Amino acid sequence: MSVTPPDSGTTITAALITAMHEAVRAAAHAVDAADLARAALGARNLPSVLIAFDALEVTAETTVSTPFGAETAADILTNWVGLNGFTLSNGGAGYVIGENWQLVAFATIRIENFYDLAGAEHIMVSPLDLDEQAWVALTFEINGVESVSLTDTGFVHGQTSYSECEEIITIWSFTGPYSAATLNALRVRAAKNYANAGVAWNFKVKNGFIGFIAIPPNS
Amino acid sequence: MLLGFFPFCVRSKGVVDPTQLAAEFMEASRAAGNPGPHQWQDSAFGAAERVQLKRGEHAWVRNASTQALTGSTPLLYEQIGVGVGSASLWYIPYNQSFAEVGDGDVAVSWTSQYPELVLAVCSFQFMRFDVTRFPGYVAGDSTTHRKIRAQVLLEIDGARQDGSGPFAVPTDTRYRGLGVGVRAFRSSVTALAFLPAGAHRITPVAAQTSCLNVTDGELEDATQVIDDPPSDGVCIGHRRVIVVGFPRGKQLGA
Repeated sequence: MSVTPPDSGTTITAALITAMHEAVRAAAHAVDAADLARAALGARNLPSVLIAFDALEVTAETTVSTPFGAETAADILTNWVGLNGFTLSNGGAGYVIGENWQLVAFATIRIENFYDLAGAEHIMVSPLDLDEQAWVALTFEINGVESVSLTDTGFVHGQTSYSECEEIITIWSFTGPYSAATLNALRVRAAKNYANAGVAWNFKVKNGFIGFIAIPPNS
Repeated sequence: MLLGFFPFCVRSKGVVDPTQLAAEFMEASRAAGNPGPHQWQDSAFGAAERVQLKRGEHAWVRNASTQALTGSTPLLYEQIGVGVGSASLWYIPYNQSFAEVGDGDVAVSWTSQYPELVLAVCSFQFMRFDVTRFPGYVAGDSTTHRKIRAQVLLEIDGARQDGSGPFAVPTDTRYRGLGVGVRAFRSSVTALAFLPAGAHRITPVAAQTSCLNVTDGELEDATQVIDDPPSDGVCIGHRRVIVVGFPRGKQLGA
């Protein structure tokens, strides 16, 4: 509603002032969506569009000596060892997931070294590339059922001609949408695979990071 | 609602100018009718309003993935001599610049009505042969060891995003540092872009640099043309693309 100003040189009347007051009052009490400025709603007004649920810097070490059985979800969930500290579970209570929310999870896993069973750095047998593999998988436990997509698994090899291997693995994963659910835990599991014949070895996960965010539905 | 409006008012014993007085009201009306982000009280939006606002200002996520190792061996099949590799293993062409990973099987496409800020991630498994399995290898002859460099980037609307992954623009003829030389790595490449309204497509791309024989002088050697390059044993396995969009410029209720 526009304000009608008094004409210049005319007498200002109470009615004119009242009319202008009414116009301002009407505008202030009936803000229309079409009238909002382009940046009318800022960060202090709007709800979060991402929900940063939880994240954790992991400092616990794990020596992985569990052998890789098969590249199957069943083997991963049954036999691969859960890495110390790489579990987000809200202290065991889990996280309540809203209707049709989608989850994006991420983990960084630092593979520090390959060791022989005596604890010394593993002496690589091959003079060139090596066959030893350190495997990891990012899993979701939702409503009490743990699952994994093989897409969210991966590995690195031992390094050529070095007694030390230090590599970073990063995995981003995605799941959902779900009906209202509980994410009981987000985990990283690991196993070792392949080795030169007769050489026993383990690998060590030194530290890393694990976290996830949630994206509410579009409408 | 708290309006960002500060009237001058009429000074004591001053003369009331109708034009000035009218301007006060017109400015108040303008502020009320076109509010900015600082003109709302902190309590302006309750729980119900915030639910409504989510519909006007949301994020979205899209995902595409391919698993490429199961059913075969995690090592490339020639290494253990049994079976065949997964059909979903995608071989990175040798020395042919960037090509679309998986021939586009994890590309994410969409059409937006509004400008958007987009975060894109490709998480993938790279692996290659042991160098002894590459063509031309002769045991005991170090000049026949092929050392390749793998490069992986994201491409947004046909534009390669330099800096999104392991790749450097070569400023000389040397190949070191242009990509990743290890035998396997599991990693993620990321890009952030502000995109206009319209049709969009995000896809990962990968390349193999021209490679080099391993010799004592490899630190200084330039790339070489090799008659029998390692064109078959360099692969992308598992791969997943996640795109999170944050719409902008969308008005409440529109």
